[in-house]
Amino acid sequence: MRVRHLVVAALLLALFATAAAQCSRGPDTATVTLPDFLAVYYSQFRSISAEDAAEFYGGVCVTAVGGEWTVMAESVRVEGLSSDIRLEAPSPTLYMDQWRMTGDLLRATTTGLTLMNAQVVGPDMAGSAADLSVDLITGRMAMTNLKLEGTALALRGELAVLEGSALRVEGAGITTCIGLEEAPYEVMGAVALVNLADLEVRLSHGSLRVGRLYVPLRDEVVVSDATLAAVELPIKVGFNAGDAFRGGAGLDIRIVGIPVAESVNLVLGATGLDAEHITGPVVLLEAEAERQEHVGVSSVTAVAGAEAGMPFVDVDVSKRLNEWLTLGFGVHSGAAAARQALHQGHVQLAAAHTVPLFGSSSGVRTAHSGRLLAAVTAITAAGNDGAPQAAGPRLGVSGSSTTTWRATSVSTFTLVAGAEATHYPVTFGYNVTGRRPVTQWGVRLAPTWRYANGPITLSVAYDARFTNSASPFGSFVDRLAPLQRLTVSLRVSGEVLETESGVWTGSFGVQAQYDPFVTTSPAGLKRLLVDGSVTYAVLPWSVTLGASTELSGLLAPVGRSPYVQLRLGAQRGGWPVLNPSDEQPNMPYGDLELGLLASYSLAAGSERLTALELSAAVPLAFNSMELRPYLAFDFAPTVLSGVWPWWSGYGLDATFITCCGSLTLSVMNDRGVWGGGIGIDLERRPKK
Amino acid sequence: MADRASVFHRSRLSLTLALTLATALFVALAAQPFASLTVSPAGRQLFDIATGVTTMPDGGVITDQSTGVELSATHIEYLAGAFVEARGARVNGDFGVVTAQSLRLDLQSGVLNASGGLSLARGALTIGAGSLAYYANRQVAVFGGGVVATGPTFEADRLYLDAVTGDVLLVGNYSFSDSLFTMTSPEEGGRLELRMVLRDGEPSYDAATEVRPELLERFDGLL
Repeated sequence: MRVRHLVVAALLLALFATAAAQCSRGPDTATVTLPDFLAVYYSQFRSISAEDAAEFYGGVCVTAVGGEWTVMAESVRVEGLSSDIRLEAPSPTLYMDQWRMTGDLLRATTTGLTLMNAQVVGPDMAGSAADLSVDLITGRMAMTNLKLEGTALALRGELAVLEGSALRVEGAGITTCIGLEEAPYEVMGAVALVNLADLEVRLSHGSLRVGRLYVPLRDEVVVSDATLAAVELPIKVGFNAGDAFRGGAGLDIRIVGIPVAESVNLVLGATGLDAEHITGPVVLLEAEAERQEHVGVSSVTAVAGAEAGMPFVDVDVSKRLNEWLTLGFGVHSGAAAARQALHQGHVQLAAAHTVPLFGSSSGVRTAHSGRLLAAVTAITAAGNDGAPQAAGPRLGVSGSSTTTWRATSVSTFTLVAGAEATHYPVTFGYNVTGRRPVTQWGVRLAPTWRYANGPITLSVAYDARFTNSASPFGSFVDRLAPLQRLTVSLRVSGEVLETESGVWTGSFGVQAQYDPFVTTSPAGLKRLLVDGSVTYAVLPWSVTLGASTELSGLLAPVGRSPYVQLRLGAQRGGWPVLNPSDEQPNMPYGDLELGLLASYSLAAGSERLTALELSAAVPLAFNSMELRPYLAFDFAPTVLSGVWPWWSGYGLDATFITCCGSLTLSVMNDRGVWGGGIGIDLERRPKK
Repeated sequence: MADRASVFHRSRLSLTLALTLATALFVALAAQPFASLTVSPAGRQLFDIATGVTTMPDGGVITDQSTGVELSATHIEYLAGAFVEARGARVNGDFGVVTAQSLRLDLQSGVLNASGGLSLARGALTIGAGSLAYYANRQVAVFGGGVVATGPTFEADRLYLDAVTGDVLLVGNYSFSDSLFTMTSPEEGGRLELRMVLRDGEPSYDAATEVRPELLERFDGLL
């Protein structure tokens, strides 16, 4: 019976054609029905016995009873009525699942159909194929010379086969450049597997084509909405704090992840690019390899080259010995950007194990870890400093456990307990006063209780650290510091009120730190920070009024410098539009931001206005570029001394909109501190 | 595929035979409309000298000498040159058998009306209708009161037959049912032309929902 129905389905596909996503019967529509299988709606029909043919015209619709597919066309001609039935429909529209396909000509037999010069429209992608064929028995759809475009990427392939929501593409190419005859870059692969349900593309044995340059890629590349949304440019921009002569300090820009071989990447860049620091080149080769063990993996990571103009090597080998024991060894020589230089070879044996306590249903779990370390270490003030501040062997043992008890569904108790000891048999260097052996010990006990219920989050933590701080290598390597600190934190945030015109949300928080005992610093209240804000959102505006104050300095002499700060900010999206009368006005993506910041010092004897800053960022959208300059002026000097306001901040977000997506470069100077960033939006392209 | 094709072909062939038989009957009747009839009573034959009407209460047989078509009935009344009325009528010829509970042939206007259990049968084919009007001078027949055919199965409110060409017009709500599918007219009714053609020497019909103007003209005033 099923075969018979398939035969008739093919016949009627070859027979008729007019359907929307669902056929509907009008007063002038005649029908042919196949019980439990098909319904055909048509306006006019004629049979031509001499040609063994029939024609449906004036609008024809064929749909499966279950709605799996529908064909629409102005006319359909059926031939071979008394022999091998076949169908031709000019300019048909075929609906299958969420796909709509049109073409120059539909040809069908009892077993399949072919659509010539097909245009394909899916829920998230649209494109074309030289021809499209559907196997009516298996439901398999094959397309040649396929081109599909979505909002974020374009896909092409020599042959594509669709089964369900899985599309297998041979001779595939993927790019974010849409609407170009030839994309300037493309990720190519012998085979791409496209999951149309979540728009994930897996491309194996691929290569990256940039112009006429081909760069091999790793075995499998995965491209999806998630990876596109989280895509990071291989350009990192940072600012490393440090004095003018510290190597690596200042503005740091580097291009990362440049593939040079399998599992080997190159990092190129420079540090100290601002005028106040020393510029140093960065050329680093990064390699990593992993091997699957019976349990877990063993790995090797290596970095070698020049960091801030100085030699840098870091090799780390980790081998899994069993389920809970790992052997590691490595060498390190050089200084990270703006850091002291470390020269070290080490071997360590690390163990980690997690067990439930009092039964798995008790909600109590504890994780144990331990480490044996043997190292020869030297530190210098900088990478180009040959004289060690301290040098010598280190032999250490440590153990710790973290116990977590989920007491209720909204509260958790955590206890961290640990102890360690490190022996230094002999140490020399100009920071070392004696070469006799020393041993550093340390014990830590840190209970934390955390309560989280709806808008309320409360935590109470105590951190007790006991140590003799005997390491001659300083805190840069392993010196411990004693501590006795109670920290209490409370935050309440959420929606306050929703009215017809907008939504009020608010936030209030208190954070306090109290040291009950003298350690390396005096006892007393170290911090009491109170902050709150309320936001009123009525589209397209959002206005926030906030205040924060540090009060510990008023209550205790060891507290932080007290102050009170008020903030008023407003944001508006989609404004201003520079060409509102155009058919397609340039709507900015960036927000208009206006801000007022007032800060007042409460420190005894120096009570005064420290900042009264007005700031504004205004987006200006053009056809292929959007600029958002930012300016801030501090009027505190004007109020206090009657002088001109201080230009306290400036910056610029520049977005370049191309057919391959948009690129945003951001740079900002906030009271002398530089910052920057790079972002991309693969779904933003020039208006058509 | 072969099964599907053969079923479709059989259905179309059956429809063709049914319509061909109906056509043959009326072409025969129209050859020399009721000009040379031979009457053979089955029993008594009563002649009303006042009206001139002859009654055959036991029935009889009337034969058209020119076509050989034979009308037999259980009760016949006729007035020469005026009419023939029959009950329990059965018309037999090469085309098959037409039966009706009552039949009246107006010899002056050349109109034959039949109703009640009206059917045309030959072999497995049967066409039934509520009424039949045959206009001998125009050589047009109209089946009404619901036309039903079996083997193939189709239904129509009315069926118009051009006895000259054999072309047929289904009017009103119609449906054609096959063992696989059912073809249905629009909800508000429609017209389906069945045009007789010869294919490989066999009578066949081409169907069309757009009716040719010349066929509509043949049925002018009757639609």
